[in-house]
Amino acid sequence: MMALRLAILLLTTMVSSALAHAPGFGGRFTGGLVHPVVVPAHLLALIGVGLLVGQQAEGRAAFLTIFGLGVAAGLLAIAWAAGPSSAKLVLTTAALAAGAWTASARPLPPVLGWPLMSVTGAAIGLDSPPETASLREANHMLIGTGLAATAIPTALAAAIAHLNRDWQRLALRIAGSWIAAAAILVLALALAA
Amino acid sequence: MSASPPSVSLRCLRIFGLVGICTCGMPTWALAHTGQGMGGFAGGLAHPLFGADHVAAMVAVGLWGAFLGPPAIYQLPVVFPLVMAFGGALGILWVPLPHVEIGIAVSAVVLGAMVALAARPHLAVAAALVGAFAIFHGHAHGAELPAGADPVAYSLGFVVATGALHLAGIAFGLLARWPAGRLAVRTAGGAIAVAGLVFLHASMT
Repeated sequence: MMALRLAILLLTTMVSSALAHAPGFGGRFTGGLVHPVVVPAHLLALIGVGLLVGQQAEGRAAFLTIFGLGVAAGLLAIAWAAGPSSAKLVLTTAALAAGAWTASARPLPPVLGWPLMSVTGAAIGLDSPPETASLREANHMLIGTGLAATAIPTALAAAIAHLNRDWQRLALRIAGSWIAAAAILVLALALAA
Repeated sequence: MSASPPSVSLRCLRIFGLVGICTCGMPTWALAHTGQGMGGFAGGLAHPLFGADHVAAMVAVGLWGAFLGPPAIYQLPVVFPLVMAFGGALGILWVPLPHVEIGIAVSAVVLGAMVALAARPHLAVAAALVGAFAIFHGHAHGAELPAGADPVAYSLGFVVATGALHLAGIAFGLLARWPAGRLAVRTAGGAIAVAGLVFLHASMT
């Protein structure tokens, strides 16, 4: 329960920061910190990853480590001015996969989980270009984004790992199906555009 | 020492509480994204609530799920949003589906009648019936999606609202555990079926 409270506190704090997101508030680090929360595609994928990893009985630490490395790799690539990418499409596909797998409530084998985690992490990094001209401020923003992008699924997974009752596992599956359903609609919209 | 497992009603109440918290919290996240109007999360959340035919059918699915009991009551809330989203994708991509409005009205008639008659077909039959209707509802929603909407926030709002209607139906359907509640649920099913006939008449004229 402590992990659940910590996760709620973390999310509440981030949302409060996002609501207070005004020019100059808290510097670029804070801007980077709230970036994954205020971009719906990122939030959808992060929640999807958190739900999926938290549901797993084994390999949670490995999944989260690989996800964190993916985020770091994506942020490094964007720091070295990687060009435009189709990261949003990849993120939505990853959210669909994570949500659908959570809804199925099956164990996630590493052969599927590790690529999913690394690709999702990298896509979040690649889709978080810093909105500033100063190198120093850009670095601060990227560090903030990296911290938030790894903290959110970690906190969520830690909280979910303690949910063992039948109704809690069912609520988790329903949440997964909602994430997957939203992702299906977003992908269809992207195809139609 | 092991505690006795909570009843189905209690478990479902807990799920609804959790869903309620999420539903209250999500708009805050969405509103935090500056520049989002009714095309964002709030727009998606409101969309399924403004169609009486959609609301009636979604609630009827929940009522029927509660009537059918386990495992339908557990499977439907997980599978239904996915099938409906598939229908929504068909609508967004303008894949033609004949007689969508009639299909939606018929869904209210059939699902309401199933509840009113306390029908208990095989789970596969119930799932096929509900799944077919879910595609009609999803298609209509997808085709009506407003231009300029934020896709992720709108879709999430839309799915959450539909799921919440469905869960509301299940919550009401749990009253069927008691004789008076059973009568109330079957009466509600009958009312939905009659409303469906009105929708059907309107869609054919």
